[in-house]
Amino acid sequence: MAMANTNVLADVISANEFPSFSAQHAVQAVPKTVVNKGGEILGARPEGRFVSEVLLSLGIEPGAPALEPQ
Amino acid sequence: MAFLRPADAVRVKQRFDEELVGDVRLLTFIQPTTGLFVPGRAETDSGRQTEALLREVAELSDRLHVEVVNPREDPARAALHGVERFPAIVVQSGQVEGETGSQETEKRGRVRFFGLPSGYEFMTLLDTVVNASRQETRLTPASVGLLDAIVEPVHLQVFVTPT
Repeated sequence: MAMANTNVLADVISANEFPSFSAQHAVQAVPKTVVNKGGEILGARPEGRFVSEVLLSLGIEPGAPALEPQ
Repeated sequence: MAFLRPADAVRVKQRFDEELVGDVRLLTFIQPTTGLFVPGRAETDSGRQTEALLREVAELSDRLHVEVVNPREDPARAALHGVERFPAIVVQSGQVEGETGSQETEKRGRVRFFGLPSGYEFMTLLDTVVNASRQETRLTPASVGLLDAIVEPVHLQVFVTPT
């Protein structure tokens, strides 16, 4: 996703090596994806669903027309 | 100690030969171990292991470069990349022909790894290197289209464990 959209910064964090940071984000099972510190996605998903859930957690309706018509 | 079994090294090299197009730099922030034992605080050598693993992988392609930065000696560089935990690997593509990045010209990588990328994460790292080299995404056109709706910075943090 980071390669597809330059606005996306993607981190892969080894939860075992950063226990206190993981605890801050209440990581109890992996994979856990935190979106902008607020949203979260637990577990793995097929690609399309994962993308949709990331968008939803940002308040974007997947597939809705772009907000900024040129 | 080699991390990759010889057969795996051959496979990785073959993949790099076939798929790498542009240069990729793995900008790696490692805090050297202090040798001090602090109760309740584990001092692992995952930093040293990370450096050894990346150097071994970089041996497999001329397109892949590893630069190791000690964040204590160059905190500005770590701050530039927003890196506060170590070891950290910032995957950078383009214009990395051996020079070390200056703060003025250095692009911020958009994919970062925190901790030793072992197990399945090693495969993720290889995929990321290939994607960065080719400046491509592996997502379907449908997903890429959906992601066009993101017009402001988004930070995804994926917590994983080695498997």
